Amino acid sequence: MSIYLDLTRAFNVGALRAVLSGGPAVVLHRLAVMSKDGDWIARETQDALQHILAVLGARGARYRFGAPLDVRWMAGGWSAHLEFPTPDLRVRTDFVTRPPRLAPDDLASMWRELAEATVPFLDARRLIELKKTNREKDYAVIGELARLLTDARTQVLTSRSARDLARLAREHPEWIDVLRRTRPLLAVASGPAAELEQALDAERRALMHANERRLQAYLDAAAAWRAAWPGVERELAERPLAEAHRHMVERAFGVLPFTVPTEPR
Amino acid sequence: MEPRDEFLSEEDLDLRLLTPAELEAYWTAWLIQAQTTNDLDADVYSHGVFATDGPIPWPAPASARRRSIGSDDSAPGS
Repeated sequence: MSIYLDLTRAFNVGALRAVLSGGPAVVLHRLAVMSKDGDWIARETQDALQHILAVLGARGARYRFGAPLDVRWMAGGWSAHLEFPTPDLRVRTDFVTRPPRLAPDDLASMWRELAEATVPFLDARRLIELKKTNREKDYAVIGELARLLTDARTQVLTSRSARDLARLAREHPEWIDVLRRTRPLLAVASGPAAELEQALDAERRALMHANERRLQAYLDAAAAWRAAWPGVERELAERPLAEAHRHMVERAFGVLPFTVPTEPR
Repeated sequence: MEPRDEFLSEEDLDLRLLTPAELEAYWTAWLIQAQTTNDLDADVYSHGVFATDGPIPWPAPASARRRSIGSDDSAPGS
């Protein structure tokens, strides 16, 4: 069994606490296997995070550099990173509770929609938003994810293919007109292909730079915590995860800020 | 027939043809094979607010943090 499916089932015993996202979600959408790590959106309650920590603690997990898996930091958009070994794998587990570019009400809807899912993983539309990173390879994934969407409106908003957009413009001119304010490149969707391709490239660059700025804000805010981390890591070594977590929270308090000012969504 | 913009390879997209059990088996085999690059990506983050194309810029030498899982010894830094 896939370690990430196994972990997801363990995280969600008795309640939905963790939704697979990132690379594992791309696998479950049957697009590609590209990532070694497990990524989850976790429920933003201390009970849920404590349950996840207990599952990981039972597997001998330890923290990597990052924020504590604690609602005070998770609510500020931070990410928590842990890893543990199995005989065959180095298993990395990455968590956020507030993934970028998903509005709070959309996130709340996600939890409702996935309440009965056997294997909860992020749908294509929301995964597209998470994949608007500063990495080129993620835009290829967005390109294919957009082709999984079944409604024209969302395809018009997310497609990375000039040919697909040109076809959508012919088939659904009403959506092109309505959505060009939301996605400016739609203004050239019916024009020469080269112009649309250039607009797609420019849009991709703008999204990459926006994510770079967002991440830089977190890196800058974590500077003191990064400086402290070698000592903290030594203090955490050999401690069971529950104890390591409590100690990490104590050490991070006042050093790693709970919130980081970033650009509006 | 008009060409189609291609983003991922046909081999990638062939995952659609696998049964759920085959997909899990393929995924696990891929993860096991990918362990050969663990030393190279020891300090890399692929997700979250620390995700970068390379290691996070540490304020201290990386050799203090390169540590194999299950080992108490620090591996040589890069």
